Amino acid sequence: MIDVYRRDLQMNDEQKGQLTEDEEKEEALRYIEETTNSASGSGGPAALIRKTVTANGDYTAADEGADGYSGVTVNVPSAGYTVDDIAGGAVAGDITLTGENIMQGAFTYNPRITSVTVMGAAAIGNYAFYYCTGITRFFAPAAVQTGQNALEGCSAMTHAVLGNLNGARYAVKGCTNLTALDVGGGGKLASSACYGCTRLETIVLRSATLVALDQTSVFTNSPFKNGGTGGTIYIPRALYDHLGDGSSSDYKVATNWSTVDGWGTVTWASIEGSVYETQYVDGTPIPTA
Amino acid sequence: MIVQESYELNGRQFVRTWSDEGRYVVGGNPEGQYTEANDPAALGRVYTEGEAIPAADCEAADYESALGRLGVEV
Repeated sequence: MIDVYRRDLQMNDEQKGQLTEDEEKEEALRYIEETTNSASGSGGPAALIRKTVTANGDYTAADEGADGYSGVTVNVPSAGYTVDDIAGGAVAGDITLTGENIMQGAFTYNPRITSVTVMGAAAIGNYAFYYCTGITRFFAPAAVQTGQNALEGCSAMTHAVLGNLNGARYAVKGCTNLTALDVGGGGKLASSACYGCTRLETIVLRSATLVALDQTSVFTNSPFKNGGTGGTIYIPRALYDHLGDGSSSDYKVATNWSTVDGWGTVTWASIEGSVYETQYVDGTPIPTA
Repeated sequence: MIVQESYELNGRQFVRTWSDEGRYVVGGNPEGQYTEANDPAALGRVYTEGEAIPAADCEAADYESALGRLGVEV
């Protein structure tokens, strides 16, 4: 996303001078939508509620024929909230988002959201919940993508369940009260994804294949770093002990994970047989097939 | 160009691999692109230099400036 903004910000003075203020805003919004859509691969419209809520309950942008945006439902706890600009902090409380992707920066700097549930296979845009300092729980087990810096600075958040953290740089950076992170999908843990998560003690990696670690900085300033107090990473039994004799772990010889293992701060454990076989790290039961 | 250096960690030998041009290195386990690769020396993993360059770190100020352009007060 920031690359997109840089493209915008690097527009030369002559080009800027040809745009009115409204045109500039429209152009910036177009960039955001382009990037969100390309990131998700859905090709659908970005989701943004830009109307005024007049009653409590579930509110869907499409209900008011929103101008080109649809598909996101926000549970509004009481009447009177204005969500003409979500980024302004109008939405509050425990919110459930359904439908399409969550736009980049959609809830940035909103301190009044206390928990988030994302239903379905949505993509979470870059910076979507950046510095939402009131969120204590984030639950998106089916999310297909988490954007860069998506949950950075959510300093009250203790538990996060994410369907995918592939390539999400700085995804939970600076979440200083995060104790448990649950990741369903594979791919790669990107640079500094868990940077500064000073209380992180439990990570669950549910992917049946090895999750790559881009570099060891993923855990900088967390208990998992070299010399840190340590923590436990739960992985599938097939990766934890592929020989079945308790002597082997694929992660222990995987690129970069081997060094993290060498630090001596990680305890590896099998998901199977642990409490996380049947529930996510926040205690929510995992639906049975 | 690929650069490698050996180091010892808690009595075990490791090799750090990176690109002197700041590109991804390609290889490893699981195979893929890495900004930097650390492996047990005994495994003798070989890397090539990729074409792609990891994205530069972004600054919060960039984002806040962009929000300002959208009329959002931070």
